[in-house]
Amino acid sequence: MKLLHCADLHIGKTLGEYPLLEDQRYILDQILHLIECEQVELLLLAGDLYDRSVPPAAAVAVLDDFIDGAIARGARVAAIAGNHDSAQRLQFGARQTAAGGLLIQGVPSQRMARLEMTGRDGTRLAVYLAPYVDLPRLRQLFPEREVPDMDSGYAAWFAENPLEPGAVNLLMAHGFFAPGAMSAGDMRRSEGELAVGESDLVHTGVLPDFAYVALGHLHAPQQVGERPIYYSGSPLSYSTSEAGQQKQVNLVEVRPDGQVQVRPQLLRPLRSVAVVRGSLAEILTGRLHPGRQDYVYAVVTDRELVYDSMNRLRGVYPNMLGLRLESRRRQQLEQVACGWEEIDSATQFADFYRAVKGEELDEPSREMIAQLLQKLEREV
Amino acid sequence: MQLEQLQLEAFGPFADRQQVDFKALSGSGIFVITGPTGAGKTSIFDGVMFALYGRASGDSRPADGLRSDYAAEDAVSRVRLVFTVRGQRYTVERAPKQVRRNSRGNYSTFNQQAALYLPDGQVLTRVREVDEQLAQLVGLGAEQFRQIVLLPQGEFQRLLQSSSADKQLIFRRIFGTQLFARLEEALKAELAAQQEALQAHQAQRQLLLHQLNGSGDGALQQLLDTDYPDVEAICQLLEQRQMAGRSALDELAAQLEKNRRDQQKYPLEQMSRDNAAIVQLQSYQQALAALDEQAGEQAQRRYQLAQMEKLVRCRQAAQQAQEHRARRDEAAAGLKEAQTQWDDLQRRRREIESAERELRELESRRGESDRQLQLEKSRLESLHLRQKLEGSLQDSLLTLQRLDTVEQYVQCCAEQADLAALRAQAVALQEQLAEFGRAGCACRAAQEEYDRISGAYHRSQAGQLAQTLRPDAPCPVCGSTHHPAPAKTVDAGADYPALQAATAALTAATAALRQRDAQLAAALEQLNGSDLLPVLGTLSALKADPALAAGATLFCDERQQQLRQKQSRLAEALAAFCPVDQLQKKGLDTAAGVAASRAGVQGKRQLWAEQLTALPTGCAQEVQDKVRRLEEERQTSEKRQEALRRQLAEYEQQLASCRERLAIRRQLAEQTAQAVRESAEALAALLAREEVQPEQLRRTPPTTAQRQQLQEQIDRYEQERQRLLGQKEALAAYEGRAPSDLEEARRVLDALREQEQSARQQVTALQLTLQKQKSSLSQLQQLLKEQGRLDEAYMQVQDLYRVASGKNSQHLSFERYVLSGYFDRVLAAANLRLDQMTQGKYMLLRRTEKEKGNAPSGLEMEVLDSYSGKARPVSTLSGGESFKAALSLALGLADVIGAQSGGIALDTVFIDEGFGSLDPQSLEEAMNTLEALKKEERLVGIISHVQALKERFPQGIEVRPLPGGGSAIHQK
Repeated sequence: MKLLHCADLHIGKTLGEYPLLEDQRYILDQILHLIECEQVELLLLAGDLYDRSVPPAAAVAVLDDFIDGAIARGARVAAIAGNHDSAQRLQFGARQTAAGGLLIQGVPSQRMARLEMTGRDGTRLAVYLAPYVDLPRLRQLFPEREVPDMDSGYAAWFAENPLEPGAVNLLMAHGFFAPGAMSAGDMRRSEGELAVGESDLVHTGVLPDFAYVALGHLHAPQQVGERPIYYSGSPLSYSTSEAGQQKQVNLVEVRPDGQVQVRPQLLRPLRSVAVVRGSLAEILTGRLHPGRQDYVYAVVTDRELVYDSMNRLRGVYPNMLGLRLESRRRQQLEQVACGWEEIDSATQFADFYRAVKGEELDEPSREMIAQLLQKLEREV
Repeated sequence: MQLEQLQLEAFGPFADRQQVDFKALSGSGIFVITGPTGAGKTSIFDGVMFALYGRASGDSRPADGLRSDYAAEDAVSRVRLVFTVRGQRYTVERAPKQVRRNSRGNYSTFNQQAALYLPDGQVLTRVREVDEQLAQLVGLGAEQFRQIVLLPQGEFQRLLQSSSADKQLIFRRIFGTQLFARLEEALKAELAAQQEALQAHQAQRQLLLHQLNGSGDGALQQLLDTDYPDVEAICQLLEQRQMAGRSALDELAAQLEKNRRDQQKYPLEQMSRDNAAIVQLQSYQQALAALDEQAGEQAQRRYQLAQMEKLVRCRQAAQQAQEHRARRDEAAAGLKEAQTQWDDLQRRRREIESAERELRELESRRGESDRQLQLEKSRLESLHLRQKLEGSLQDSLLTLQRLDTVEQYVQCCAEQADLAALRAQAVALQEQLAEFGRAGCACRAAQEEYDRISGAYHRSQAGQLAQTLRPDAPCPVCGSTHHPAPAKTVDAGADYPALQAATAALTAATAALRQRDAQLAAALEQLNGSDLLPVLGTLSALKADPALAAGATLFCDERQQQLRQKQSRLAEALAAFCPVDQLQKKGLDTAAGVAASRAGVQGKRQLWAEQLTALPTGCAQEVQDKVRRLEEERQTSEKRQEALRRQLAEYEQQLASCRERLAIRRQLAEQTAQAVRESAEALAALLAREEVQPEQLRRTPPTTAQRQQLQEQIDRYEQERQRLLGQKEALAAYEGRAPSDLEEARRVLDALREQEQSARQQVTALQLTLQKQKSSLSQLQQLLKEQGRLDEAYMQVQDLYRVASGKNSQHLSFERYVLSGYFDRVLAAANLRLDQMTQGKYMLLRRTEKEKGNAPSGLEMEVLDSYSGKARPVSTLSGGESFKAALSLALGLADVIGAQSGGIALDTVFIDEGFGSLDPQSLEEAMNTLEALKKEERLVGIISHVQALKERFPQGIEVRPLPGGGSAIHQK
């Protein structure tokens, strides 16, 4: 049977000043098309459905349409809340909608919500839903256990939820997972995710032997280690650090014997996010990046900023995200990085004198200043 | 610095004790302090500030108004903060000044109290000590702390837009650049000092010029009378005057010179002296003439003296001759004496010769007697040796006897051992016998069994056979087919296997018996040849009567007893000379040892016997006496020889000395005779020469006194004469001169002197004037130099002051210059964050051009918009943007301060409000920025009522107003 795994929809997000709702609707239609063509029986949404805990009304409508569309095309939908969603709000009506084919788990509980279904080809499937959870919440879930870190928290959670024998067990989770000994630095992450740091890292060693683990949270599609643990990635590029990434959703074929095959399905966005680098003149020719309507962030290699560069760029790329002078960043870093040599006050005065009068301070005056300063320092 | 725990009691809006546990919150990095407006969110921060610095954060809350109005009347208002700095934990407790009811029920004012608990257990309890220690620990002043740790409402917006002057004040507080401000003031003071110096200088100049007044010098006066006298010209004039004066002095000097020379022409003293000398000379001449008249007397006296002396000399010579004669006589007498002695000695010669003969004889005899003595001595020795050997032989006999005893003893022991062994064998034999007996029984038993079983078996054969009988089958025995009465099996247990078993048992038992038998025979064989055999008899006898074996044992025991008795007897005997336990040490515990010992002794005896035969016999005592006698004789002989020798030697000596003496005396006699002859001749010669008659000698000689007197007279005369001659000689120059006229000279000289006097006076006066002029001149010149120097110094200080205080072309004071350096750093750090927050759109810059008018510059800020490429004033930023700018500025400032003050880690930061004015997008970005702070290991506390923050950062504390007034802190 076929499943579709996608995550991090961030519906309602604005990139810079541009609402991405139109682009999101476009891409969600592509996904619905895929569901129809491949006769997908289960849609997995692995968290961060919305961008904010209280999303805009239009975004709610878009998600509503999407889920409705998926169910209409014969797929059931299982979704979990991510760190951007409001767990409780997302879960509204979940107990009622479960009967109709939509299972949403927002708030994490000791006993994981499970979706059990049998595919048309007889594949018995058990999907475990593990919404986003942080360390304090894990500690709350298991008060009688020692939970010093995320690994032990997740280990405790899985201990409470043993695998279903005789079924193909899948897991859907939202968080930051890394294989065994790898450190966080080796995973592909975009800028916003970098802030999370390493304290929320979960090592995949604590995950039981699921046939497929559908993860959400990191926006770059990737496989975690050697096991069948995948991030589908976000369907659109949501920051300049994702510029140029080929976005996808994972089509997962599950056979009754538990064999799993993953086929990535590429997505084509309405407008892509690009970072264009060159001198202002070059960029203005439009030859560096053909997609005029795309969301472009310009890194200008000129030595100085040109007057009114932004407006001029908007003339070529109306959806400009922003602009930066490349050398300036380096300059800044250098400035701050260089150490603070302690110059003595007399030398400072000499520098000041030179700066103000344009001539050198003569020796007797320097002496006098030095003596005065010494005397004043002693009086302190 | 990390905050761990805060306790507030009756503080601010909190009526009773409220607690905040920062440590629990530090896990998440960001926490939110929420609550409705006015509930007391900022009071938490007030509490921290108060604990550390003794005052509240905002100026709007005075220190003594911190006590909670909702507290009970007698509740103590205090704050307790636990924090760690560099890994060490400190606790500070502070109670603000408060009015409350004391234990007696009256209201009284309690002053501020503070206590600091140090990690090593010490406690500081004085407010000032606590404050000092805390200031040192935290490293920041109260203002700085407030600026950096709490980012208060609207303050940073203010900082963004404040003027250079305001910023200067703020930064001065933060970066401590008061030193540079004070430099300005110091320079100003220096300038004032320089001005004073100039003024003093001016006054001095006035004084000097005034002093020059009234000198009577017309030209000088003219110069002085102007309003601003030209000091240069005055100096020049004075110099001229100096030169003129000096030439006048020279003239006067020449005059004086001439005067002196003139005076020299009249040396008054000299002339008077000359006159005196001339008079003196004349007197000398007169005296000399007088003396000459006395010359005749002098001659007479001389003659008298000569005569006296002659006499005296002759008398001396006569005496000498007399003496010589006397000596000659003496010598002659001595000679005679020596001669008689010599004769004496010659007479004694005969005696001496006989003594010599005797001596020789004695010597010859000595050799003979020595030899005899030696012979006797050796004989004596050998006799002694003989005695010794005989004694040893005797002893050795005794030793042999003893050895016999020992041998017996050893033998006895050996016998005992043998016996013991034998006994053991007997016992073994007994056992063997017993075994044999047992084996025999067993064999018999087996035989019986076998017989029984075989009988039964055979008996039952028939029965068994009978069993196989079948009717009409032939019987194996007889062939009959008719079996009327088959045999019955008699014994069920007597079947073939049983028989086999019995056979086997029998064979075994028989074998065993044979074995035992062999063993017994062997044992008996072993005893063959011993004493026991007769007792035991033959093997067959033994077998017949086992009790014999016992007899053997008994026999052994009896023998053992006997041997023991013997052993004890022997041991007693041994004990006398050698206890039993010493035997082993001497190697005498075995027969072989004893034999060896005996052999040794025998050998020695042999040796001695041989030696003995070689020795002579005789009586030792006789020989001894003889030896003694001989020795005595020898001794006496020796003594006699000695005495003789001495005598001879003496004689020789005396002879020699006598000979010598004789020779000497003879010589002496000759000498003295010679001397007498000579002196007599001399006397005669002398008398002849002096023309003195011998009878004159006899008369009394003149005394020494007389002679001396005469001599003196002569001398005196002579001396006087000489003196006068000499003096006359000295004044020879004045010979024939006449005295000069003194009066005239005196008069001329006086006149000259008067002239000199007046000239000298003139000189003195002139010199004085010149001196005064010179000093004035030098002072004025000094003044001129000073002026130059003071002017230069003043210019220098003024230049520095103007530059340092900002009165320069750029309106930039020194302090602001330094501060702008700091500011640049702050902006650089801020820009890093702002760049991130605005996606590179904005960057904060410092304005480097000078401000309009005279406004101080250097610390103005503007923002560079990369979209437009232009710089704009900060006030043009929107609310959200200026919040971001303010936040980055605040964090940048915190970074710089942290890096500067020796890296004080400010691990806790509070942000007070400001989020309410942001649009959702900006709020989102702000929250992302704050999340990024998590990475930096800071604990960020956000005081806000914005809902989105609460949801984004669920960790936090909530301040809830209570229904009865006051608030409570609730920590999740």
